[in-house]
Amino acid sequence: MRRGDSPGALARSVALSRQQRSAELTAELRPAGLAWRQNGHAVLAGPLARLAANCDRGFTVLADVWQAEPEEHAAMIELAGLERVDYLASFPHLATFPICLDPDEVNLKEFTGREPLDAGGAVRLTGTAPVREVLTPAACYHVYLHHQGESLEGPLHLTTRNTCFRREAYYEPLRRQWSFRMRELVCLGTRAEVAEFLASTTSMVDALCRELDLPVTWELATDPFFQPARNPKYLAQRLQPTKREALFGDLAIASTNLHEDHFGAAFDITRDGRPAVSGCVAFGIERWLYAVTRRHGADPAGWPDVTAAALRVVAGGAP
Amino acid sequence: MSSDHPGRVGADRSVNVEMLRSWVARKAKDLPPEGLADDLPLLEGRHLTSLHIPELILLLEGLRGEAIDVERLQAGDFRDLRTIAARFLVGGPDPDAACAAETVPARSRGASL
Repeated sequence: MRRGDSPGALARSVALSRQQRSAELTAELRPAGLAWRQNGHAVLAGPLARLAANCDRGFTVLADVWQAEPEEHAAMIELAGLERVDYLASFPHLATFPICLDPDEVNLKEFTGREPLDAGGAVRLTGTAPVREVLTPAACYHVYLHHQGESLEGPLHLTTRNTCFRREAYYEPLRRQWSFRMRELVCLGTRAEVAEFLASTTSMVDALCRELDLPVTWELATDPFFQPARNPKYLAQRLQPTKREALFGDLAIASTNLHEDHFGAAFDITRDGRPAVSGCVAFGIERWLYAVTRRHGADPAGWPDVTAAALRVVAGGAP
Repeated sequence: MSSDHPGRVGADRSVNVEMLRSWVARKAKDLPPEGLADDLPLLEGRHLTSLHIPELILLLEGLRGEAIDVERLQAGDFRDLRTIAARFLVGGPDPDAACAAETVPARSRGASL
């Protein structure tokens, strides 16, 4: 920023820089299968799609160490359940809602009786049905709803993957997307069981990054709360950090999260007669693609086999 | 965060610490049989939870007679009674003046995982 530039000029400069970076990355990775939609969605095809699948298999190799049960959940989640943890008050800015037309025939006729889109490409909605769901914002939320009311006899290890949706102020391919793929490993149990899970899995992620020659540093982090200074959960995360992120440069490619009994209490999941403690390890799959391609180049021939690397990590010393 | 709590600027330090101790003793759950020790880990031990934090900040603001900038809160600041008192009640209004806590800032960004 030059002396005398206004904040507006700086913002335009930053936006231009991001656009340029997005364009360069997209051009560089197009032969490998990347296409970018300006509204925040990436298309992965061919080699890049195979690398994404390879990364995900590598993460499930780490999950297998815990004999984690796989779960496949829907793309959306009921807000009546999620609101037990005040999701919308904490993250309204990130939420994306699925919306449907009111099925009343008169309403549908009115909708079909005119051009469905306006000049800007926005849908000219008529009456809409009540919105009761949100598109999945993080893969592991489903797990707590699914297991609500359970009394656990031992630690419960699960793994799930979902396409997640987070509305952001801007988007960049593979770095910050409206829709992206997230693999999570989850543990519900006592505090000691969850602490062991997080510590051991963090070590495995560290080892995996070394195998892949991805330089990462771990830093404390907080979730991106709305109006954080007013949110007790944000204040608690600052005072008693429970989130750590593995940073490739300035980009978080994985995180470990200790939820304490936040979800166990909200969803009546118990262990040893007390609300279960939970923790998760999350992998942003597109971000791993970014890290691998920045480190090893755009040519698929130079990419490491992530699954094989994970198998070497596990063979080298499972927890 | 600003406070409507009546200020006690100039109040005896031991009075403020006792008011803090009394508040924590009322709010904390699952205290050990030996009671509320000065070094009992309050958040880590889940004796206090996130829901208590805004009220505790308001209490401290009232006792110090000065607002606390929540963006300057750091990991460990509310670890135990001794730390809270040293950080917010002993060293005067500048929270950096009496830091007895870890100084590991947490980072926050819009696209956290």
